[in-house]
Amino acid sequence: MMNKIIHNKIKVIALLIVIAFTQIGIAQNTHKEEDYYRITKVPTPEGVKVEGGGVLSLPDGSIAVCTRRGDVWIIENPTMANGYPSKFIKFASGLHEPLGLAYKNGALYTAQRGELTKLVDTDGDRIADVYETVYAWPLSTHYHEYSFGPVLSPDNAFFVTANVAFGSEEWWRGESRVPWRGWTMKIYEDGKMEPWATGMRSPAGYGLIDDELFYTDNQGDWVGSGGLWHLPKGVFTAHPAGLKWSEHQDSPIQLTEEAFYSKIDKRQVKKKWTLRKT
Amino acid sequence: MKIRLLIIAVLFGVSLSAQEQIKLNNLNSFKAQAGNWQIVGDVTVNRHIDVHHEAEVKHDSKKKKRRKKKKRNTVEPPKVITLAPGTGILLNINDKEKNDALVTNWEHGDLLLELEVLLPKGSNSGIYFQGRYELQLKDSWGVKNSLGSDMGGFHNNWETDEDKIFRGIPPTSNASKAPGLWQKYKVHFQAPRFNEAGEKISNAKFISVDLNGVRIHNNVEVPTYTGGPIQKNEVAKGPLLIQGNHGPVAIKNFKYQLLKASSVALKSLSYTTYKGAFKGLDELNDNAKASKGKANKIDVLRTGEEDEYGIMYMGTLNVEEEDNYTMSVGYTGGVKLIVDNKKIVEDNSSSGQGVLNEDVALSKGEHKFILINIKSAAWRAPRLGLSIKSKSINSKDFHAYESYPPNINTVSPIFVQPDSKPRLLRAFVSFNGNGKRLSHTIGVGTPAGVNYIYDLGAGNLVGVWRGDFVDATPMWHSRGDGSFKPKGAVQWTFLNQPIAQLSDMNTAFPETGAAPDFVSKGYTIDKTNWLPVFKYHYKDVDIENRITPDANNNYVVHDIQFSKTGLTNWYCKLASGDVEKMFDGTYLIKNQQYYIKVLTGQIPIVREVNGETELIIPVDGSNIKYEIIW
Repeated sequence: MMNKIIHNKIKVIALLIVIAFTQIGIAQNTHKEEDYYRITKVPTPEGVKVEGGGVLSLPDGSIAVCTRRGDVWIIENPTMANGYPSKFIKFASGLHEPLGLAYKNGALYTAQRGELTKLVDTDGDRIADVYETVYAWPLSTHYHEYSFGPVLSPDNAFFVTANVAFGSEEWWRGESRVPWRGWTMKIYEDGKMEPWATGMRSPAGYGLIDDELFYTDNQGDWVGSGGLWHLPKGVFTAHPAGLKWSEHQDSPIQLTEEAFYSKIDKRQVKKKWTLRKT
Repeated sequence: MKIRLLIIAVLFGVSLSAQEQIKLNNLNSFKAQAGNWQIVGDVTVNRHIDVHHEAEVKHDSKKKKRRKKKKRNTVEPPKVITLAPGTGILLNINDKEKNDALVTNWEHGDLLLELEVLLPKGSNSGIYFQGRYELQLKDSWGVKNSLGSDMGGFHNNWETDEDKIFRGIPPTSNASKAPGLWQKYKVHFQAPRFNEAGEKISNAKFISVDLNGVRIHNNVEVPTYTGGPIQKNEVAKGPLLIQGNHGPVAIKNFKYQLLKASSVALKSLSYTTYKGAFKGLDELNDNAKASKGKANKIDVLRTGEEDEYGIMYMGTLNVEEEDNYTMSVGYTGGVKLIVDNKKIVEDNSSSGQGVLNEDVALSKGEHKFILINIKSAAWRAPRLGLSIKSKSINSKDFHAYESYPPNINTVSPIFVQPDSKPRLLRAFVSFNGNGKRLSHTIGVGTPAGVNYIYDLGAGNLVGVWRGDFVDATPMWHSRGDGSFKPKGAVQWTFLNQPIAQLSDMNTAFPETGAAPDFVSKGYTIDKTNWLPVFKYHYKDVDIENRITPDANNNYVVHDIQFSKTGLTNWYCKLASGDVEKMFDGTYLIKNQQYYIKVLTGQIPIVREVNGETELIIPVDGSNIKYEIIW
């Protein structure tokens, strides 16, 4: 059940609570969110910057939210049942711009910029005391190297997606300076990592439908408009930056960068705009 | 956008450096003194002994006396300072008879000064600018809230007349180091100004004071003389004075540059404005002329336009002193500066932005001057400015303020501070402040203000500092770049995976950790102190790192534990650079000026590999514990 939620990167943390699923059949009107859902704000304590990067409902009815400021909040009683306010507990802090959450066997997992981290509260005070690196991947330290996830796979592993960097080749072109930028990785609890697929640019949306992985991407170079891709193992989707590593021994991708650019113009123009930040 | 603004800030900023070096081969640059000042070749300090200078002895408390007694019973050599003959270092050792100040035999007005200073424990001195404004030199190691009387402060005076009272100005942070370590000062002083009647019209001002690489004063006025001036008045010129009656002090790398007011003038200045979407400087033509007139200063707003304009200034530069002048032209659009029919700088664009600097030798006399600027870039504000300076002449602006207003950062900063518990924060960190950007780093700040940065990618403690924790504005403002900046004088260490099995003594440590040998396991939180216990796996051994402040919260203790013993050819790198073993078994890391002390008995080895000197210890799997003192 948990696996099937499609997570989205969210700007404002608004909690969607289903109160009815009635069809309001006014034909000429565009259907709006509030026709189906009542949107209720969960009051945030003053001083708490949410800037949410991942949200997840936990089995006990709490909500976990990870923030750009590096915190993981657990919001108890988010429905404000009995007219009683919800409680914000800072479960973890100090993380590097985490962008996603998953729950497995009592632990929370989050993708920081440079690693998949397992957060565990071992002594029962609702505060994580274990920040275990499940798997760390290299980064060139470009700002755009965000990492998203994880999505819990049907076989209890984790999918993590990795943004490309910009600026060394052309200001506008995403590039994969280090493995596995522009890829989706499948990471196992024991720290084994299986490169899964490439072609990602800024793969900020991800989820499972019928145990199959799907992701959405931001429009930009090679991604003409936002879209939703089905992602079985070994596929190449859209952006060629990650093809740089397709000849790596662990790569499931046959298509090489060379083969790709032999058919499609790379549009390498003069490096006039190296100072520009995308 | 951010990048462009940064370039302007860097190039147009004052980047002066002190030029004249007092060689310190002798005392010829100074007036005669009682003999407490001498030239020596080397100075070593026993960092444990408090010098108990006169002022303190007067107020000696019972507690201090007890401490003194205890000292006598220890086996430490009683000498605070050990000196070696030679040249290059100025040393004061005063006693009751000999305790003169050292006074330069030259006088200064505006001044750039750079020097390194070394103080034993408890010692105290001061640099008096113009003999009147004291920048305090003091062993203020471990002081949490600095006063004006602490290292880097401007010392109060004891006047009682309302207009003479000065209560002192503390440094913005305590950037000082431990006793016996060389500390670096860089000061830009501006003398008070007087009118023809001799009345002071502006206060003495410290444009900047940097201590150990940290700005501790910025644009600070000192409204009157501080305590103990050479004379109780204020003047246009006075000697530099170094206090010699409050304890030992050593000084080296003494460099200064006298600065004087600019006499360069721009005369017979006239302008012509043009209207049009010019794409290059040569597109200006008479048909596009819009207005003309005379002017005193360069002012791009004369065009009356926000965009699609051109402006040309013509006149003469009157130079009274032959010198090598640096001309700085700041602009938006495109620009060309011509002096004596010679192109000095040019950007033949219509949408550029920047600052162009060029050194030009100018003889005494008049020089023909032309400055042309165009802009056809609606997204850029009109900007045109010209400044001229030389190494001994203050920079002078020849533009109206609004034509080239200073670049001010109006972003509200995002500072991160620990509260009652330590604060951990991961971010990219540039080693040395501007060096290699590390990707898997974490900052740890403690409530007592002892902070450090650890690289999870190498299992390495890369930097330590005291004071405020970090500025996370670069990471969290707007789009951000994933990094933070430590707020203080960071003592950086080195970049390596510091624990490794080496095939022989000529093998370097790995640059960073790499799988499969090295795998980071993250950290757990030790709930007794809320500090992290870092874990990694190297060659089938689980290694744990604990980095904690010492009991007095002045420095850090690094504790390393291994899951196995009997390790062979394993080593741990403690420091990089030339080292000197002190009498108490502490190692002084000479280039970076900090101490390493091993607490667990391993005997350090000094070795050279790939041109780098390293301090290392053998690792057999037993506990390693060492202190980093800075």
